Amino acid sequence: MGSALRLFGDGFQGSKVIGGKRFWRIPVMEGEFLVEEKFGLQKGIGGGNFLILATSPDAALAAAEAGVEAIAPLQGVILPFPGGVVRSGSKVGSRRTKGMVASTNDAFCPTLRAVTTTALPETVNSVLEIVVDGLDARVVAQALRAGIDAACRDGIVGITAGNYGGKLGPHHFHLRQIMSPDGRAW
Amino acid sequence: MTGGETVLTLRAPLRRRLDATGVAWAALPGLDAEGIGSQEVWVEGEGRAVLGDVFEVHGAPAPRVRLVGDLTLVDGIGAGLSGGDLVVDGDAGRYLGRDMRGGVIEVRGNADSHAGAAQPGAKRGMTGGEIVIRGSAGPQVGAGLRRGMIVVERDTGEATGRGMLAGTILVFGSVGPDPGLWSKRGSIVAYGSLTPSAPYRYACTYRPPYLRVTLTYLKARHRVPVTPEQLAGHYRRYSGDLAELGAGEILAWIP
Repeated sequence: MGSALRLFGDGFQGSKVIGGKRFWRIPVMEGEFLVEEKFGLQKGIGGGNFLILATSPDAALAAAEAGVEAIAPLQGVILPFPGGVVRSGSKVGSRRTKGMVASTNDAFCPTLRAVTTTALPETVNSVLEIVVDGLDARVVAQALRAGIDAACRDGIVGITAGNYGGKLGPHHFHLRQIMSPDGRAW
Repeated sequence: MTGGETVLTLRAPLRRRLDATGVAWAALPGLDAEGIGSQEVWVEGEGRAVLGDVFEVHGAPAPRVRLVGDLTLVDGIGAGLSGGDLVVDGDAGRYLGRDMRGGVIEVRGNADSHAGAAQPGAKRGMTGGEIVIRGSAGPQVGAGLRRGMIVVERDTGEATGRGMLAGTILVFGSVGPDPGLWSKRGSIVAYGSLTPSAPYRYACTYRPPYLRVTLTYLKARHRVPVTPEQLAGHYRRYSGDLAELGAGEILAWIP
């Protein structure tokens, strides 16, 4: 993997051997991307998520950051988006453009409340999403529970999740089940 | 055997320089005391001798070899090492780890000049392995380094990493004048005072992710006293030597 990705460095990449493993350093606009030359692969689960419905952008961001902080130390999961937070959640497909895989999640856009079928309560003015990928359903569910627990704070009107009509894969994470007292059994 | 290691203890303080590059350092872990004692060395002004004349050898074949005594006058310790652990319980002389290809050398005192460096006239220095110097290192540590890592817990002399081809040198004390001159690639990482050489140019201040991996490894594997501030800190990056390939770097930690 790393030996292929290094080519993105266009000749500016460099490598380091640390503890017998070779890493590639690829310069990017943000700073530097580091990847191991070789690593194992296994099937996992992508796209576990929850949406934070907040009264203001500040409240949404504070809750999302608290959720990220709670999930980050957990084993077996990653938050694939930069900083762990998604501002531009999407729905499957498009209303207008044929063949488009995803487009803006209009039901959760506060600015579209008056012109689309909204899913937002009246007092919600900002929504952020946290996406969790993991090695199995159990660790994804545990991460969602930890993140939601941490995100429930002042200024949060509700927590929900993108179900995407059940079209996004075989694994469904039902938040009521995850957050119930029995949810720890995941 | 002493705790899974073979121990070579200096019989008496040395008064003349001793060249130990002819010792088959890579083969020592597989040799018994007699085999180690028969390894040839060269004594300045006297000529050929064997290790057994200079050291008392204790122990059976073991993956770890420990030298005990003030070895400031012993040059070429660990030359050509390709695996296993070699510990110097004291100071080491010049050209520590010359032509080293693998394994680990730990010096619990100071090392004289040219640790891990290329021998005169050679194109490259050590090509693999790790050298950890708990004290200071003399001039030209890592000169011509091709691959591998050198860690110096205190200071280095002038021309650290001169003509480096690749590899990494980490210095936790102050770095001597003219670091990295004529280097093509490779990294010099400084945690104490450092003045970048003239043909290096400032690039940016950032947190190199590979250093976090490197420091975590050094702390776990070699018990290098890395602080949380060093792990999470920012570094000034200088690129150079711009008179050469310019793909080398000096990373200066900002306390």
